Amino acid sequence: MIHLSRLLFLLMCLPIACSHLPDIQSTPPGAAPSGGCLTSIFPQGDWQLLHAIEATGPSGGKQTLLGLSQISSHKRSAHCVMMTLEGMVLFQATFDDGALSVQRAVAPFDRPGMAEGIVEDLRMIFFSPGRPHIQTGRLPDGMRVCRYPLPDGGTQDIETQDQTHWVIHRYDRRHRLIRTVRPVSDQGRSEQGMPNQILLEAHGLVGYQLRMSLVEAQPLTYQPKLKKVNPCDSN
Amino acid sequence: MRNLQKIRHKTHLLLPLIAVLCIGWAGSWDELKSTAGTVTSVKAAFRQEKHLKILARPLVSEGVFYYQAPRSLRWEYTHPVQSILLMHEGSVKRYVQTASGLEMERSAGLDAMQVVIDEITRWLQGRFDESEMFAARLEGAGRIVLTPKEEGFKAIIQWIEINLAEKPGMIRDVVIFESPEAYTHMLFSDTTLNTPIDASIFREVP
Repeated sequence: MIHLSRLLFLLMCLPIACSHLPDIQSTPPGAAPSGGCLTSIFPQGDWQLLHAIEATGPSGGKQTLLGLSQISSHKRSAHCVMMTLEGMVLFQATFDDGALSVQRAVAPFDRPGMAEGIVEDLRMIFFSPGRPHIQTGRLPDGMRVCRYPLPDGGTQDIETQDQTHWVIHRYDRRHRLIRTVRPVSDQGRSEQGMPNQILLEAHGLVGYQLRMSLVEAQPLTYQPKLKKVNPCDSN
Repeated sequence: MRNLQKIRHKTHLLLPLIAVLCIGWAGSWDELKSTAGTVTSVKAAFRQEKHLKILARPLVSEGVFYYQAPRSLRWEYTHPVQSILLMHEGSVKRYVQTASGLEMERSAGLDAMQVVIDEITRWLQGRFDESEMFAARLEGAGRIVLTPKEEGFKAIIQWIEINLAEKPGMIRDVVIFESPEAYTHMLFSDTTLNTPIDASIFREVP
């Protein structure tokens, strides 16, 4: 019996013990990007974005909401509103480079930690990490990668093949994969150069999925269109 | 119990929209009930404008709805995101446009829509003053003001204004106030009353 409990303990610990960040093969000196890594995959400037958000919960239940986001890349701020398709506002919040202010939160958006979670997901989707990368290179599958440390001890990898094929992986402080964000490439891009559809997956026991289809993108000021360049080659 | 309350609140979110189906022009509750009693079906187009303080111009949605007495409804958005809510013979379904076409959506809130149907039935009969969820006030110039009875519901919707059209049985517009600065304005057009509607409209999509 004692052996069985030890075995169970070891099995429980196994995912933690086995978690490690993907190995990065460093780019040869002179070829590595030195700064401004990968920021062109994120919206630049001030935008108002309207998405249809198909949320799938851990039990497979789906619900579609409208998500309105006003974002500013240089201020690193955003105002976000989540509505039912009928237009009822369920959640409304503002964040300004770390400071979160919730104006409205109706069930289930009033759960503890929900507002912070939504904001973190939005920051991951719309904003560059906002700090220098600590490592660049290639993953074993050939994708270029820039690795960033996060304030909570986690890590974020931004992996690119080209402007339309990229993926963001976020890991917690124990190096367990907790989020994946990627554009759905067969859905194409808007005339403003933004992905028509983005998929966010939250991993874990209570994981969920957000499939965000771009309905409308309006510049709040003059915006240059996104350049079709490989961000890792920009320097 | 808490879950039940949450589901009720979810269904409450649909009630204001369905209030637009309420029929009739009247100077008194009795006149309103009398007019409403003659309506057996409604079909109309609608334009929905969402006003928020942060928006320079409102978000606009468009669609159509169908109602057949006693308990059949189709509420369909055609723009910007197609979605169809069907209620027929005790069944409630919602379909939403996805990348792979219209897909049926399963969520706990839909299971409790029978509560909403009961409320709709009361309203369609002009029995606003018998509503369990709203206190109704009939004002001059064909305006009805609905105020939630539950304090918790007031946190979601503060009040609803329904403006009746001059033609008996028709609604001109509805305004749903979540706060003085956040409201939804619904305007109706091409309304037809008491024309036959094929039952498949309430059963099938598109």
